[in-house]
Amino acid sequence: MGFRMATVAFSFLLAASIGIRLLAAAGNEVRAAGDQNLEITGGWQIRIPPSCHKAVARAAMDLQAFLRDRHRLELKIVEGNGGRGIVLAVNSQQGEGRFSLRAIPVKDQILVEGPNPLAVYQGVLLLEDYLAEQPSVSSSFKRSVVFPFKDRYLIWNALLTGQNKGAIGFDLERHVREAVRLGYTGMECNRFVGMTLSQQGHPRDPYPWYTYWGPSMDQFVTSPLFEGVFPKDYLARNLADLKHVVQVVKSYGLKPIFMGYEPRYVPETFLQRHPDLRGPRVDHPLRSMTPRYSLCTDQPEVLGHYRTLARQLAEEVPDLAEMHVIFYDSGAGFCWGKGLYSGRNGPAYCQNVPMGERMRKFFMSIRQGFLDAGRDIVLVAQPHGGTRGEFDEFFSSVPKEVEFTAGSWASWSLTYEDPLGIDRHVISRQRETGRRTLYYQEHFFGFDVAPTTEFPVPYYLADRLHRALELKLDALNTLGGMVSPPIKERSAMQEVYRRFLLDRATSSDEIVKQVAQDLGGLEGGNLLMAAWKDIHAAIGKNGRNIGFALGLEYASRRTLVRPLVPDPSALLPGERDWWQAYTFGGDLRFGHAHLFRGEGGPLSQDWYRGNYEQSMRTSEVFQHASAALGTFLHDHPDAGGQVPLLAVA
Amino acid sequence: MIIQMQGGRYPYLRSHERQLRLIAHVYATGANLFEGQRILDKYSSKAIEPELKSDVDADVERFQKLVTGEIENTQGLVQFLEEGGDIGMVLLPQETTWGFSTNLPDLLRRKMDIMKRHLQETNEVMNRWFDSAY
Repeated sequence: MGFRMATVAFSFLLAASIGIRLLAAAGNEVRAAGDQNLEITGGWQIRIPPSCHKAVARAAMDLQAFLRDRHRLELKIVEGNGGRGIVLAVNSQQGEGRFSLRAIPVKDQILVEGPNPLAVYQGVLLLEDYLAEQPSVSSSFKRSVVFPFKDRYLIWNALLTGQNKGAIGFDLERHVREAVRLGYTGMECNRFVGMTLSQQGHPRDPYPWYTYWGPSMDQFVTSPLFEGVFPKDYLARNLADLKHVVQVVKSYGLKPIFMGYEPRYVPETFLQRHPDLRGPRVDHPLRSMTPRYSLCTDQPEVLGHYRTLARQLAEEVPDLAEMHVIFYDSGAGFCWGKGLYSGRNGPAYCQNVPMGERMRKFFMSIRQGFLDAGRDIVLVAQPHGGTRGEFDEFFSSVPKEVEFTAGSWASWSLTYEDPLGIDRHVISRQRETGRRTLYYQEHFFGFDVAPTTEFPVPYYLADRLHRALELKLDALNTLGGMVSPPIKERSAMQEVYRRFLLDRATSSDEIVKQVAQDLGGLEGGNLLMAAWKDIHAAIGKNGRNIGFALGLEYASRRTLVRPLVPDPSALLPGERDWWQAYTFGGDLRFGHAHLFRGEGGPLSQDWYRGNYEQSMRTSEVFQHASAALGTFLHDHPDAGGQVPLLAVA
Repeated sequence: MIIQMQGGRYPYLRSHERQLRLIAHVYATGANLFEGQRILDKYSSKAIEPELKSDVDADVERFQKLVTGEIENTQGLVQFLEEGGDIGMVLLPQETTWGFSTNLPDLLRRKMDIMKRHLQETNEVMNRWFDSAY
């Protein structure tokens, strides 16, 4: 059998329902008694500034298509702001993160105004919500929006650049538009092209799979030291793709960001030719079939290499706005670092180099490379592991031109309570040292959820966002990424995020209620809320643990397709190879015959009983919620419609 | 490419009903695997206690019931995947460690076939240490 893709454009149906709710929720919309309607007619035009930014032009075309498809109105796009129409205006006098929508009845105009092209586009997408039901607003219509957090970035974006890149149906432009609609200001752009790992070595070695995300600079450009290490056509392909993604992201008004793991391991053949440059072992010794080493960044030659890579990258892709460097985990790490999976290790000669000094030299080499190219790309260090002591050394030694993101294991998961004490400590050090306050959290997808496209825990999400708000951050990064049409036309979780940005003073309960009613109407919305509350309670009873069975685990350990048999070790190759080949660590001792035995060794009977109980509880609550919705849809055939994405051929 | 129009005022409800259904299937598989492996672990050690002899018949029955239940759950998942609509999961052009592809229903059928084929071995496997000359 096979699947065929079915593209479904049902955004307008959703927009219609959401528009009504947004109208009701618009706290600063003025509606005076006796207001007249300001109706958009075919005689109106969409007015844009002369020679405007591509994002404003895209916003105008978006609005044009919306009015055509939704209301059968054909509005021309013209330059200049005189005459009847919807006027899109960039006004730098408006504060950052602010945009406004306003009816000007004496001119027969609706003005969408923002301080930059992105804000104008975000204003247009909000206006589309207001116009979803009818092409008119009240004559006193006025809405002003100030987003919380100066910046909101999509980092470690599983669907665009991470473990689910290249997904069937993925549409880059719709993905970026969705990021604009949700309120983001920047997104990660770098990925390597294709699905084959460059440093696979043993075909069943699972460790290179950790390089599937966050490809390093050396996957795009090279230096004299690295000449010939990676094939030229491989680098050229990746670089061409990066340039393309950056241009698309920029054309929507978003900041293009490079997020890479550095210093990441390099091919062993290179280190054999340059044994003096061998740095620490950076793989996970229980997850890798062979030791893997990064370069020793205490060697001037290596620092020169990174400076050259940074210069080359900045010259080749000058529109990059920021680079976020993850310096531990997934095959990366510094000599003698405390966050290395193998424990502190490295060459003897650099053992006594202070970590702060090591990090200063490394990050400043990258920064100097940007400056060599005449580009002042913002450089941000991002920890995935490490210790408070090392972080303090960073803040004490590295100039504030290199920023640092807060975030920890708790913020990687959708449901765990964050921030932790270490996160608050890092944020306080960011402030003390005059840096931006950046913090990352998983919000929807990636890590413990992908490839599932939505795991509905909206109450946890709304509370998490409110906690982030209390931190008074400059930037809140979404770690893990988001889904987008046509793979997922709408995600309630993402709507919660958007509504929070639009109405952050609203309580979590009210945000979820409004989203539920946007997406399901009054009756259907109540059902959604009931379902989500039950799911929330079940996950709470499970210790906020989403569980082994979901997300990466059911894919990477092949638990969904692996047969449950009395004697797994006796399976014949023909019964085993087809799933084991794709099982993470399939040929390692804990991935072969045994389903669950991991790095901790044999498991207790109580461990199994606890996980069984949690899985049953979760399965039942989802099954019950699905059945309730199914009954509702059966009884209300006009409510749900058909949403075919994949249909059997 | 199939283009299908859809009606209904709140299409998210239909999509979400399916999303919830997928997750219910995934967790049901998880539950069956946890409980099944718990039972297998009891009988997979050479240091097996003779006292377990009194559990073995009940455990054989329990394991067989779990396997049967997982086959039913998997049949339901295959039907879900093939009936059309949002499957609530990203699919990749080819399998990787991080995701499945369009052959997922075939893989699930293969899994069921193997489970059915080996189910009859349960009694023998769980009694092998008690029956051993060592």
